[in-house]
Formats: sequence, structure tokens, C-alpha cells
Amino acid sequence: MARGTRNCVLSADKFPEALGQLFTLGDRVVAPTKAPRGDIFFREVSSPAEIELCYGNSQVSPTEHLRPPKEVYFEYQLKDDGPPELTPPPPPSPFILFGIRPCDVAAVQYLDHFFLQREPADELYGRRRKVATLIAMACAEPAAETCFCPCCEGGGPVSDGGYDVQLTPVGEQYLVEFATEKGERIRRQWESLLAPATPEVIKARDAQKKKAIEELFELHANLAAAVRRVSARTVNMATWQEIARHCYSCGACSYLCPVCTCFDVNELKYDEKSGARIRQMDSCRLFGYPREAAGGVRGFATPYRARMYSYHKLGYEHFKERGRHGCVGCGRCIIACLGHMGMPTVCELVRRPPTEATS
Amino acid sequence: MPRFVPAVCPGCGAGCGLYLECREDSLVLTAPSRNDAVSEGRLCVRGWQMGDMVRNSMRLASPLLNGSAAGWDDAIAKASELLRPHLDASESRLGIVAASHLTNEEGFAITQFARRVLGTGNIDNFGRSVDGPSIWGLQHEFGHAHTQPPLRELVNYDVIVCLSSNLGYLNAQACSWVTRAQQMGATLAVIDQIDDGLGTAADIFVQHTPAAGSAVLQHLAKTLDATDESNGADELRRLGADSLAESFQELVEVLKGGSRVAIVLSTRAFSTPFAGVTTASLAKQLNRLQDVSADVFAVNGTPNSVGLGHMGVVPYFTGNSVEQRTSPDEGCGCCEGNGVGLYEMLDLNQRRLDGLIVIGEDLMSWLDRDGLDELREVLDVLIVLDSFRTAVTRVADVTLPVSGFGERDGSFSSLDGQVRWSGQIVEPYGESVYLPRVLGELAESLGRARGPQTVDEIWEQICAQVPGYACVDVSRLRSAEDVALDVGSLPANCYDELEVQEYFTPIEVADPEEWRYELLWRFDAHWWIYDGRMWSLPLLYREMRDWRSSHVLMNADDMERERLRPGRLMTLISAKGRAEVHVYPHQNLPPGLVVLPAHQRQLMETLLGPGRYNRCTGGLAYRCTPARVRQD
Repeated sequence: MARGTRNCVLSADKFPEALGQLFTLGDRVVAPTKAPRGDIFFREVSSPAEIELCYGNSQVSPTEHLRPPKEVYFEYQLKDDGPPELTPPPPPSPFILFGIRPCDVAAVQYLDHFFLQREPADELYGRRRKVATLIAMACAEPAAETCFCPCCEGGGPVSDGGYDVQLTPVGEQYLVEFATEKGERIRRQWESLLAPATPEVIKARDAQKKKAIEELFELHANLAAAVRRVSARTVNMATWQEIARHCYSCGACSYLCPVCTCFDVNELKYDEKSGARIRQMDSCRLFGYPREAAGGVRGFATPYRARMYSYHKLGYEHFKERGRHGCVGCGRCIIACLGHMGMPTVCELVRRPPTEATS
Repeated sequence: MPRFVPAVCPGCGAGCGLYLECREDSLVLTAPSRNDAVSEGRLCVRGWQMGDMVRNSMRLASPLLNGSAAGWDDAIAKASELLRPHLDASESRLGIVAASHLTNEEGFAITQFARRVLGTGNIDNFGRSVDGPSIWGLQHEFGHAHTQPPLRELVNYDVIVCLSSNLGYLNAQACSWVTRAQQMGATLAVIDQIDDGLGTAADIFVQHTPAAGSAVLQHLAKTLDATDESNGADELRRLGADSLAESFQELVEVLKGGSRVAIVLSTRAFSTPFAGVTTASLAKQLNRLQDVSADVFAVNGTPNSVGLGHMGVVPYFTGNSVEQRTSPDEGCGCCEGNGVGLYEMLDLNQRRLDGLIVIGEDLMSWLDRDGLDELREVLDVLIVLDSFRTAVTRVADVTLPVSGFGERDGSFSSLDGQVRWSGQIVEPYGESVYLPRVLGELAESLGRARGPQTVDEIWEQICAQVPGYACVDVSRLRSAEDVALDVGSLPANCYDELEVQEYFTPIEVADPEEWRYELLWRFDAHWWIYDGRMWSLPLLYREMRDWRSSHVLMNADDMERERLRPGRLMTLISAKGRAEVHVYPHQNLPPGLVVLPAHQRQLMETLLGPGRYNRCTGGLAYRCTPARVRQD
């Protein structure tokens, strides 16, 4: 539980009303929705009816609303009689990110550190983050069969911090935790619907969390052991080759990873006189990742790219800097990998003795 | 306009479902779909970057007249002025070459335009010539109504025999299912001349002499036939180095072991009807063995060659309408038809055409730069309809911008008999217009009827006219449902001219030590440049343009031994001829091979001799020859 948190209880029958009141705050509401094929995506909604409340893990992490896969730095218009006119994108309007799962809350903490707590702070991320209110929905059970958040540092089906508001379903009610000023604004809005949280509810929530971690998560990744092997640099090249053997260099593990942060800067020409400078997510798993300005690509074969990716996720140096591993256990890489090599499999392989990995 | 629509990736023949999204800043993104029956949430690098194909710096914004921007009215007037003198000729010398990433609806409109407005049967699509021949061969053996199981079924097989190791970049989704099957305990065997990725991952890699793939399959079927008592040792030596014998024998033992076998045929790598026939024969032979059952999965490299075939974007029909292809029993009547295929249309020696309309295709996939310039010289009329600026728009008389992926609704058909919907996410770029509307405008300016103009109007006619499509409910397609075709009613191919014969006949040379290289032609040898990052797309085109002036690929160690530097000129001498070519290293090539990317028609004719063209299937195949290199 985050320091300074105010705990309340919201009964399940008042939940729809609470949801409706979010739309009266004047903020945009981004929430889980069902796409035409039934996949879950976090999208802007205009009424509670559009929100999908029975949802597992979303297809793409809701962190995409803080750090979009593609975004415009500025648009330019060339002038015949002077320097080009540059137009930055309009500032984002305030929005509520409703229903974000604990793994993605952990990812936001990581991104906050990466983009904001280092110099220079990232302006595009910063201004989105500033206007975002995170209402987390803790998991009473794994959100998907691919979830392994309890294996990750500080992870688990209930967040310890990083949110503004967290709802945890406990029986026929929700334990609601308000952790920040932004959360306090939501609490004031919901005040008439809330009751004080009793110690029993908190105990029940803790017991539920313990049971989920110990009994319900079927997928395990021994991240701690993998971190030791990777950080000690005792994983030999044969293991990276084994991992690379299944790598199609599609970049999906990076594009879907809620904590991957690499991006590439490009020009997008609209016509002969106008265009935009944009940035878009990049991936160290792509062949062209180390491409140089002259156009050439230095020798950086797939096993080396696989190793680089894993070092960033599991290396202790990065842990020391960011305060957590570069994996939050959301399991999206397991679904998206064409070679069926998600993070748990990578952890298993790097923990194997070298002789086994080469076989 | 919706901000989030389901779509089908036009990157290859897998047809992965994805979502297209357009945000406030107008940038177009792609997202995977876990509930999609084909991809189950996995996309390859091309799928992930398909949003960049919708909006990028290579888009064509307005019509062009001789390469300069012009208005729509002027462009249409000029195009009809150029076409009109050729319309009433007794034998049509106009032709249409279409890309295979077009939708069924666009394909139908193109066919109607060719038959009813231009009065020509000279119409073809890119995929028919590269992926079609081996599928043709398969259908010859299995019947035209045969459909293969969906790719996801691959995980239920015990042995996967992959014909070609290049699945990873040809059709990554198929490769992903193969990998999954292997992880779930299936034995993976790969048969190929080079290791283009999957060979390393295979449990058994049968690496054979260049171009002997079909012969290996034939020999495999023969070896599995208990009634055949011939000694295969000599044949094996002919097909590959001594190392082949061991892996070949291992494969035979696994196949005899009693199991479910999936044969995965990469249609582009094995682009001959003979490959299809031998693959089918192998499957039939396996099915004769006790406790063994085998199925063939053809893996298509082109997005909608199947649907365009159904819509009639293929040559050789006696009449000028798809209605003529009424029932499977009647055949297609192609042999006495009046149309020619892509290779014949682009054959500079035969000069069959006076006017060519190119739709969505960069002809430099077929001709190098000199070839394109020469084609331009022999044509009176060259009209291009495309979404992008290409090498062909540079030399066209008239270029008309048409809407592309993500800019129109449309459907694709797949080898497993499904029709799938791909939605519109943004308005067409610049002055681009929906292709059937452009063809309608052209038709009207030529004094003909416009034909159906919208997706719904076109579907009415497709359901009424195209065999196998009457059962398709468009409203189900629009709600992102896959709809099954009535495959039994699909038009049959004509097999009368199918040459079921072996292409592999080694050329003997006096001094094998001196002629130490094997010159091999191959499609798509350049795809690896594309590295999944947006600006590598222009880079890809730039490098391909440079490379297109006579180039080959070699193993890096071979290049070092021969003191050849990347990008420099060398003399390549084959048993058929010699040429000055640029040479580049390719990471996957084994020693002893020189690969000639297959778009260089003139170079192929010079170094490999005349190709063997099959009129019926539209395919062209060349023999490989021994070669040597000399530094200039």
C-alpha cells in the first residue's frame, strides 16, 4: 500500500454509478473496450456502456496512451520567403486511464523514471503523464494464462503504488485506494458512494492476493535467477544463438512490451511543402537497429540483438538505475512472439547450464 | 470515418488479421489481434509496419503527365486519347498487369475494364506467375476444389517437411506455426539448396544441389515406394554432396515411422508446376504407407493472387468475360484463348503489345533498369495506376493516383477457401481515388459504360457472376467475420499444357575445379534489406534500384577468397554466357553459390539461357549452370 493512501469501500451495486460520474469530471475517459474481433484495447469512450468490464489483459498495454508508438514532434510548412513554420502538436487534454492492470501500473513507474527522472526529461511523455489520472483495477486472479507478474520485482496482482486510484474486487465490493492528489479529486467525486474500509476488507484483500500468487498463477518465470546469470555474464553465446534461432526479428516483443523505451526519429513528408518530424517505437530485435547515418549496418547478428534485449530487461546495471527490472510480467511477449519465445522461456534458457543450451 | 478498424495485412499470402488505427495526429498505426483465426496475435515485421504503407513519403499525391503533376481531367483526357486508337483493333495489343495486393473488388473491376472496355484478354497478376505455378501443379494432382487446412493445424502433425528454408521472410506466420509444431514435439525436416533461416532450426536439413529440389522430392517418393527396387545411391550422389545421403536417409526413416506428416510447400521458392506435382505425389505416396497420413500446405508469398485469380485477373479466356467460366467441367478454355500472360506481355523480343496499363506494380520486379527503358521505347502507351511513386511512374505517359491499403474497404481470398475483410481507416491520400472509380472514369471517357463503382455495387455483381462467391454475405464480412467460399463451384484451371517434367538436368563442364560456382536464380533475394523501420522502406527501394543494374549475391568468404569487394563490378562467366555484374555478400548463402535475383530477365537470359515458359501457369523457369568469377 502506498504511503498516505486513503482506503474506502465501494459496493458492487454502486460501481456503475461511480463509473458514470467519471464522465462528469470533464476529462476524457480511456478505458478497456472490445474491438470488432473481440480483442481488448484501451480506447477513449464517451459513456460507461462502451466500457468492457469483463476483460483480461489488453492486447496492447494502456501505456500506449502515455507513450504512443508513433507521435509528432512538430509539423513544418516550408515558406518561399523565410524560414519554415514549425507547429508543435496541441497540448494533450486531461484524461482518466480507467482499468489499468497492476503490471501496466508498474510499467508506468518504470517509464516515469526513464523519461522524467533523468536529464533531459522527455517533454512529449511528460505533458501526457501530467494530465493522466490512473485508476487501476487490481486482479483477483490472473488476467490471462500468460500472466507472470508475481515473478517480477515488486510485481503482483495488486499494485503497491504508482496509481492514483486502485480498485480491488473483494467479494461483492471493491476496496478503493486513493493515493495522490489526482486520486483525491476522484474521491471527492465519489464521496457519496463510498464507505470507510474496515480492517476485515483489507485483510480479505491481502488473503486474496496471497492465494492468487500461491495458487492461481500457473506460469512461472524465475526472473531472479535469470538476472543473476545475465548480470554475472555467465550466459554463453550458444544460449543466445539458441534464442536467436527462434527470432524472426519482427520486433513484436518490443512493440508490445510496456517498458520498452527505444524510439527512432523520422521525417514524414505530407507534400512538397509540408510534413512532420515524428518519432516511433524502435526495437533492438530489428536487423536495422544499429544502422548508421551513412546507411550501413554494422555486424550485429540476431544472437547479439537477443542478448542486448535480455540485458536491458534482466541486467542488474539497469535494475540499479531504474529500481526495477525491465519486465513487469504482463506476458504480451509470449502471445506476440512468432518464435514462441516469451520472457519465461528466455529466463529458462539463460538459467540452463551452457552444455544443455548448446544441445 | 472510424478510428479503429479490422484489416488484413497485404504483406504476404498468410492474410494475418490486424487492426488499423488513426489517431488525432493522423498517424496510422497497426495492432495485432489475438482473436484472429490466422495470426492469433502474432505479426511479422511487415505487419507491424503496415501503417507506414498507408502514409509515407513515397505516396503519389496527384496525377502525372510525363512525370509532371497534372489535374484529373487532363490526365483522364490524355489517357483516353492514347488508348482510343488501339480499342478497335482486330487483335488486341493492349494489356494490363496488376499487383496481387489488390482486393477482390478491385480485381473484378479490372477484369470488367479489360474485357468490356479494352476488349482484351491480355491481363495478368503478379502472384500468378511466381506463386501460381506450383499451386497449379498441386491442383493438377488433387483437383481444383481441394483446399488445404488452415495453417494453425500444423501443430497437430508429428513430422513437418518444409520445402524451402525461406519461410521466415516469405510467410512468417506459416513459419511461426512450423516453429510451434517443432516446440510441441514435431520433427522438422527442411529441404533446400541454401539455408535461408529455417535450415539451422531443422532437426533434419536435406541440403541438395542447386535447383534439384523437385528431383529430391521425386526420389524421396520413389524411396518410400516399397515396390520400387532400384538402387538410389547414384541418384542421391547426383542430387547433392555426400552429406545429403545421411540426412536423406534419416528423413526416410522418420517418414516411414508412422505418423501424421505435413508437407509445407513454399510456392515462391519452388515456382514450377513440376514442384507442385512432385509434392502432391510425395503426399500420395506417404498416404499409401501403413499408419502414415500426409497433407500439403501451400504457403503463398503473394497477398491475394488467389482472389484475383477467381475474379479473372488472369489471361487466356476465349471470351471477354468471367461468365464464360461457368462450371469446373467446362475447363477454362484457355488454350485457344486470345490473351497473353505477364511474361509474354513484358517479353521485349516478342513485342506483343502497343499499350500497357500497370496497376499497383513496380515492373522493376521483372525488368532491370535497361529493360524498363527498352520496354518504354517499344510501347506507344504506358499508363500507371498506383498509390506510390515507382520506377514505372517515372517513365509513364499518364499516372493516376489510386487509394491503397487502409484507404478503401475490400476483401481478400486465401488458399484455405476463406474470404476476409480489410477496412478503411483514412481518406485516400492527396487526390487519390478508389481504383474502380478511376477505371469507370476512363471507361466513360472512352464512350463505354462505367461499370460498378462502389464496393457494394461490385459485390452484387461478384455474387451473381463469379463461381463460388454466390454464398458470400458481405454484411458478415463487414462485421469482421471470415466467410467460407463454395470451393466446389470455383472455376477449374486448364491443365492441358501443363508440362510435368523435370527441370533439373545438370550441365557437365570439363574442369569442375575451375567452374567452382553454381549460378542459381531466386525470387525475392533482396527482402532482407527491409529491416522493419520506417525509413528503411525508401532505403529498400533505393538499394533495389541501385542493385537492379546487374547484380548477384555471394557468400562473404567466397568473396574474400576471390578478392571481390561489395558493390564492385566483376565478370561472371557461366556455361551459357558472360556478363559484368555487381556483387554483394548475403549472410545466408553457403560457399559455392552465386545467386541471381530473378527480376533481371536480360541477365538471366544471358547467363542461364532461355527460360522454360509455361503458357498455362504463367511460370518461367531457368536451369542453373556452373559458373566462375573474375575480378575486374
